[in-house]
Amino acid sequence: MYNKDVRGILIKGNKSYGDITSEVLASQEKRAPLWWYFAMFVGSVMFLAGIWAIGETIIKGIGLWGNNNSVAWGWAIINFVWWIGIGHAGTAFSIFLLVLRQKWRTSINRAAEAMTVFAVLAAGLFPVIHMGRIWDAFFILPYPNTRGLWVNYNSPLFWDVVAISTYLFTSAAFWYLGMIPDLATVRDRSKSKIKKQIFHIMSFGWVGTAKSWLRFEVTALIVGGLAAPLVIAVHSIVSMDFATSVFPGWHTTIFPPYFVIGAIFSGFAMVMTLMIIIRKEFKLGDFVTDSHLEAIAKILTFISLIMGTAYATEIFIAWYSGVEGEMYTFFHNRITGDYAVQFWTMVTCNAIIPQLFWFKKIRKNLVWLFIISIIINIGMWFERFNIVVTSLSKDFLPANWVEYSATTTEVLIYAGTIGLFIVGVLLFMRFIPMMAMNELKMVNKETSIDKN
Amino acid sequence: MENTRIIGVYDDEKKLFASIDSIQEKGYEIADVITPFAIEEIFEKLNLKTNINIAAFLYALFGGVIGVFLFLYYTAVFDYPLNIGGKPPLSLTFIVIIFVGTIFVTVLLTLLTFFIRDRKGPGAKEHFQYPGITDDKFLILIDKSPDLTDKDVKGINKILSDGGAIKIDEK
Repeated sequence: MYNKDVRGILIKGNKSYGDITSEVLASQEKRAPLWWYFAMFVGSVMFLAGIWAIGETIIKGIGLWGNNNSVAWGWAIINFVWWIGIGHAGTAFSIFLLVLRQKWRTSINRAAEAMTVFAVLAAGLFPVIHMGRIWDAFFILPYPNTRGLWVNYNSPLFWDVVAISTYLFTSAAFWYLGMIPDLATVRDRSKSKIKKQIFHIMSFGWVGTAKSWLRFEVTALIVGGLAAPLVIAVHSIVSMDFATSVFPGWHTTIFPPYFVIGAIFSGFAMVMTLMIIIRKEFKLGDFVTDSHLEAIAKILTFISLIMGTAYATEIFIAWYSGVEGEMYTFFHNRITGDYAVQFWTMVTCNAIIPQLFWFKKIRKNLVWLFIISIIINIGMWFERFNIVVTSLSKDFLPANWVEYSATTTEVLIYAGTIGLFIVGVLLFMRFIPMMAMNELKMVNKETSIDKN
Repeated sequence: MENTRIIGVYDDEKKLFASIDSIQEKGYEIADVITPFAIEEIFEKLNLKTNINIAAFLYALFGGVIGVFLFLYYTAVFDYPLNIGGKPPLSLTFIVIIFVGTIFVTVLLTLLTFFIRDRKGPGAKEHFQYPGITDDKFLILIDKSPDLTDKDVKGINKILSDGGAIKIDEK
C-alpha cells in the first residue's frame, strides 16, 4: 500500500486518466519550442563532426588516434566506459524499481530507458571503430568461417561483445515493449492520416484487452527480471577488461562492484539532468515532482558514499600490498604528480560535492540538482580517465612513459557521440510519449491527491 | 462471421469491477474487457492465465543453458580447441557466456512468444476499435449470441447501466 503522507504525492493536480494522456502528449501535439530546434542544430553539428572524424579514421587509418604510445586507445576506452555507465541507469532505474514495486518509477522510466538505448548506441561505436578496419568488425562474432577458427571464449573482450550486444537488444526491447500501449494511444488520438498510419505500424495492433494486458505484464516482468542481472553482468564484464590484466591500478578484485556502482551513479545523474529538463521545459512538474527528484538525490548521496569508500579502499590496498608499481601509480601518478588534477577532480565531483544532497534545501532546489547532476557526470568521466591513463601512461618500462593527450580526431569522435545522444534524446522528446502513460494511470489513484 | 457484441462503456474501473461481478453472478459470459492500463483485479475476476512464464523457463533451460553450453562445447572443445596459456579447452569462463547467452535467448524467445500468441507485430490490424479505449474508457464486451433472448439482452443492458455504464452500445 502506498502511503502518501510518508512517501509524498507522485501525481499532482487531481488528474483524470484523460488529463494524463493530454498532458503527456501535449509536447508532441504542439509545435516544438525554439530551444528544441537550437539544441537539435547543436547536436546535429556535433554528430556530423563525429561522422567526419570516423570517416577520416577509416580513410587515413587508426593512427589518427595517436595510439603509437602505451596509452593507445585511451580516449576511446574512457568514452566507451563512460557511455556504457550512463547507459546503465535506464535499465537499472526501470527494472530494479519495477522488481522492488517502487511506484515513483512510472514518471521516469520511459525517459531513462530511452537514454539507455542512445547511450549504449554511442558506447557501441567505440569498440567497432577502434578496430580501424570496421568492415571486418564481424570477425569478433563466433560464426563458421573459411579459416575454420572460432573466437577465444577466455577473453573478456569477447565477453564484452556478447554482454553489450545482449544489453543493447534487451534494453531496446524492454523500452519498446513498454511503449506499445502508449503508441496505440498516440495512434488513436492522431488526426493526421500519415501520423495515424505510422503509429498504427508502430503500435503492433494494440487494443488493450484483458488477456493482452496479462501477457504484456508477464512478458515485461520476465524481460525486466532478466535484464536486472544483465545490468550487473555487463559492467562487471567491462571491469574485467581491466582487472584481468596485470597493470598497477587495474589488477584488483574491487573492480566489478566498483564499476557497476559507478555506472549506476553516472546514469542516475544523467536521468536527473534529463528529468529536470523534461519537467521544466515541457511543464510536466505534476508528474516529475519534488519527491521524484529528491528520491534520486538520496540515491545519489548513498552511491557517492560508496564511490568515496571505493576510492579510499583502492588507495589503502595499494599501500597495504607493498607493491612498488601500485604505490607509484596511486601515490605518485594519481594523488600527486602529472595527473593529480584529474584525480582530485574525480574525488571532488564524485565523493564530495554530491554530499551536499544531505541538505534538504539543496535537494529541493532545481538549479542545484541540475548543476550537481552535471558535475557527477564530469567526475565520472575523470574517473575513467584516471583508471585508463594513469595506469597506461607509466607502465613497467620507464622508456615507454608518455604524457598523454587526445588527438583532434579522438575529441571529434567523442563530440560526435554526444551529438548522437543529444539528437536521439531530442527526437524521443518530440515524437514518443515521454512518460509511460499506461503506468501513470495505473498508479494515479493510489498516489495522487484526494483520490482513493 | 463474428457475433454482434453488447458494449458497456465505463469511465471508472471500480464501477467496471462491480458490473463484471453482477454479469458473472447472473451467469452471462463476458467475451472481453478492454482497459487503458493493466488491472490485476480483472485478470482474477475473468480467471485469466498465461503460460508465458513457463515457456520462458523452458527457453532459459533448453535454449539458454543447454543450447549455449553445447554451442561452446562444440566450437571450443570439439571443433577447434585453442591452447591459450595451457588452460583446458572446457573452461570455467564458459559460465560468463552461458549466463549472458541464456538471458539473450530467453528474452528473444519470450518476446517472440508474446507477439505470436497475442498476434501483435508491425502493422498488425487492431481487431477491435472504439473511441477512448487507449485513453480513459473501460469496456465490457458481451457476445450477442443467437442463444440470448431479447429478455437476456435487456437484462444485460440493465446490469450494465445499473453498474454505472456511461454508454451502452452494440458493435
